Amino acid sequence: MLYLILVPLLVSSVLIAVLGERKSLSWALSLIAAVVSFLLSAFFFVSYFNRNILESYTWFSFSGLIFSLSFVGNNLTLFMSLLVSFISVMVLLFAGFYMKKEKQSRFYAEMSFFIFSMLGLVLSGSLLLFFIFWEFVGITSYLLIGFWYDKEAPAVSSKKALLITRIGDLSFLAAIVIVFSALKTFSISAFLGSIPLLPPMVILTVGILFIIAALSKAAQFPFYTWLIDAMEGPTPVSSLLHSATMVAAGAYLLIRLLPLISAAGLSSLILVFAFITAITAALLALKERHFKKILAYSTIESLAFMFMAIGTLNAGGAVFYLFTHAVFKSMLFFISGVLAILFGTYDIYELNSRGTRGSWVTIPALIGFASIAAIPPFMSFFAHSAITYNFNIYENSVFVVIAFLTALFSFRAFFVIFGKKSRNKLKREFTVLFPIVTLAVISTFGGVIIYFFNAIEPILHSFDAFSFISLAAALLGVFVSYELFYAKKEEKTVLKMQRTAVKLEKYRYERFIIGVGNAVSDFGYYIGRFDSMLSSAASRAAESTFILSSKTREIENGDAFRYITAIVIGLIAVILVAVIFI
Amino acid sequence: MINLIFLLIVPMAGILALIIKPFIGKPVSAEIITLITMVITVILFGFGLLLGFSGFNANINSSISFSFSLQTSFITIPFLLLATVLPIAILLFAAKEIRQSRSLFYVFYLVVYLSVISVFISSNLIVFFIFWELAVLSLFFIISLWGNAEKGRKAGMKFLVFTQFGSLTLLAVFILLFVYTGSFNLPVIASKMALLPSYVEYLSFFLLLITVMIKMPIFPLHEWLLDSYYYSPSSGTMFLSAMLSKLGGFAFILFGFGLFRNVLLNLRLPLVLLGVFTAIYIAFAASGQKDFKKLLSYSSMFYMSLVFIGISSGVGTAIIGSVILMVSHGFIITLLFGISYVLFQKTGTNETAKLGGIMSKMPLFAFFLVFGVFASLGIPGLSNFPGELLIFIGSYAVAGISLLAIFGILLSTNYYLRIIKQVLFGQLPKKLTTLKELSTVELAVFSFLSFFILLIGLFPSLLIGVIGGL
Repeated sequence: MLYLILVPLLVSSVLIAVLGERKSLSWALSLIAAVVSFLLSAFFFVSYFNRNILESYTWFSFSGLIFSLSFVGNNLTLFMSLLVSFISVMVLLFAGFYMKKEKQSRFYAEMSFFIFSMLGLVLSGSLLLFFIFWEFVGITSYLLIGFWYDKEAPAVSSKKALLITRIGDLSFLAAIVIVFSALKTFSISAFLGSIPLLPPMVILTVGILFIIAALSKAAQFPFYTWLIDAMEGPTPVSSLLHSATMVAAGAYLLIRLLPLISAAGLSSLILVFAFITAITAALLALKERHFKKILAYSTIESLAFMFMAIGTLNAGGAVFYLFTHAVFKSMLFFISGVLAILFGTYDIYELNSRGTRGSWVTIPALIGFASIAAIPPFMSFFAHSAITYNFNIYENSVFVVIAFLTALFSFRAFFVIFGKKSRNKLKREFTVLFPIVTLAVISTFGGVIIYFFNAIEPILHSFDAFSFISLAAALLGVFVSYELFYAKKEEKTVLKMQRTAVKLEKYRYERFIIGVGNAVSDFGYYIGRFDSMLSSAASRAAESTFILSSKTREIENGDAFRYITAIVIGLIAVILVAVIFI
Repeated sequence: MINLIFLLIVPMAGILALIIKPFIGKPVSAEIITLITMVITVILFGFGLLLGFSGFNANINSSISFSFSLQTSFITIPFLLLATVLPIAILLFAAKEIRQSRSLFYVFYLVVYLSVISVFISSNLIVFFIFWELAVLSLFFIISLWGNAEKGRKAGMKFLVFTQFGSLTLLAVFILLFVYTGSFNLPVIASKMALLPSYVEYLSFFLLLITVMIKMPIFPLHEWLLDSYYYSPSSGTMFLSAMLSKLGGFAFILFGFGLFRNVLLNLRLPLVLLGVFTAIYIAFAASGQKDFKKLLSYSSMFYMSLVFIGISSGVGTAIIGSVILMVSHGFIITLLFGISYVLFQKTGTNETAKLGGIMSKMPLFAFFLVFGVFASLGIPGLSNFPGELLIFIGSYAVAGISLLAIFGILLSTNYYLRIIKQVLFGQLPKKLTTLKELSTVELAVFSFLSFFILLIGLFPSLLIGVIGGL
């Protein structure tokens, strides 16, 4: 019965697409569907609590091979479905405010389809079904980033997003092909159960392929660039797809496959990538001026935190941070959207000059940015203590540096955006007030949830010395950014450093990626040229066959053509007569 | 039970009606006759699916065992779906495009229709060969007479030279089989394959391989493809890519896998390698194309090379995947060529870089373009996905190298997304502001094709269920 959770959104997606442009009806339909899904998730969460329900459906089967699509209902998957549908309800509420002036039907049809796929993804119990929904969220992300099709930037960035994530999709495909050839099953539990039986080469290959899939979906180094450009999409999309749910699917995949990661011995590889990603993202966020892109870098960093937990085989920490991050990050995106609608810009320095401090979003924003920096008493402080539980001393030391950088960039954004007092009151609407306040309340008091989280996923956490050293580093970061960006001491040095950063930006890694892309298409161009050369050589060969046989060069003027035509028609006639009358 | 001969009698009657039509005045147009003929055939096919097909046998010359016999083989039915249904969609493009000597065009059209169906159901090699030739020759005329005014004839000639060479090698295979088994009847030959010395088996297999590699086509015998696809009328291109290339795959399964299985299994590694090379080479070649129609021609070849990988692996799973992919690709490539045709009609150019922002004027067109591209890229739920999945699962088990072809899918993603970006996104050029949305007929055809793409994608068991005995 678990598929019931998905059905409302699929129905609403099709219905909205069929009905066409109907103003707020599309919004209402998708919102109702999301609420129904949320209630159903809650119902199943309660009724299946502490049970492990597997519902299997055969897609097709032949000669003993069964291609089954199965859903699994246990505490983890149903909690995830609860989380996804909850965030979706919040985002759809906010979208009612943000997308008021846009075309509604296409947006809500695609959003409903996305939520449908995302719920399917978290509930799937077979790798095949997981892959199917994994592809669905990829293409809906592509369509939604490109929502404003008439602008240049979304066109480029949607293509880039799908292309880079497709590297991961295809390695996922390769992985499930290998798994299925080895085990003749797609079931995740059967796969994890029979890992000891598989040859080490297979485990290693499959592990690497799944890690590539996860890294590309979660925009980790070396794939992170697409997520920054994806911010060209509408803000509800950035909030739901590109921070709270879809990108987290990458981490979720590895959480589900954690026994594979440990059996393949690839956990330290993940850890290395996660630390590189976190440091890179934190540094790059420091030079960014675009509000949403700062949040995107922070998302990349937060996902790296989840990968750190996965790399230390700490599933509970990863899941809890995933939940924490989804809550506070979607709220921050809502705030960026509210400011953008009211002031018409995402540029933090322009927002600064308009004056925003004292408006009603200031407190939620402070909660959000403090959550990025993991400052108590907010929920993310607890989440950090869970992530770092398995860290050794080296990892902890690097994490302290990251904590400092994180606080620095997040409070830079806060102090710059809310640097000047607001002149007039910001508009408040229920559709935006309700989600922001709800999420702010959860981020503030949600820390206690960690003490009940064991029921969902075994979790260990402790406030050890390093928790407080990290906290001190974060507070130092806050202080430094206050001095630099609010009190504006050393302003010249800061500006100089930012200019250097922008200059470095020109040579950044992304150029390399674009270069690779160009090299591929250049190579394609030459292969195409080569192929047309082959083709024209063949043409000449074909012509000369006729020239030799007819001893004439009249092929061009059509006489030879008529001659051949006559022969061929005669042949056909003979054959027809033969076939019909003999 | 529906006798298979009816699937031939109806198109034959249609051809006769078209031929005598000029002599009795003009009561109905040629398109209508053709359409009715094909619809009746499809209805017969549908009844056949429900009630079952019965074979047909008429002895013509027993001394050389030349009998006109029709029978369904283990992979026939999925191909019959393609062969009977798809030309209806193609007809609606042809009706718009073909302006001169239409009666003659539709005679050729129905001859192709008839002969492709016959190839799929004939179980006597002589009958098989006659119809195989008829299909080639009628398409040669379609390309030459109704194709591009300047280049059409040359392209047709090139097509004829290449495919005739392939037909000759096929004929040689048939003669070799006759010499050693004394029969042209497929079931008899299959039971007597043990009589063939191994070198003859290898020789026949290589001759067959040449035929298949020309027809599908596979590197390095694909040079005819680009000119023929590009300069023939759109309906001809659709026939070539959606049906003629499938004849190659069909022959490869029927003879290569059905008769010469030992040779196929011995040679599968080099063959899979050739398929992988073709896939990647062609994906690169397609990336370098600026012209939409050329790009589609190459991409069509890319999917056929995946089919080649699947069949060469000689594993049942991959063969089933290949059949699904061929049927699915028939529908998808017809949809995409249809889209490129409509686009050319409306904008006058095939170069997508000159376009942009069409989404704003033609949202339905945009929907079908995106749908076709996603189907092509193997998004689950659409028809290519089960085919690709089964091909990779089947061939990976025996030749792990086949997974490299996935890289080709990545390249396809790149060029297809480039097309979408150039055509749909961005600002509309000034001269295109008068663009109109799809007409009802175009909408109907596109929906018709999309319906099948979705149907096969969601319920591949419909096709798998009718493939028997692997």
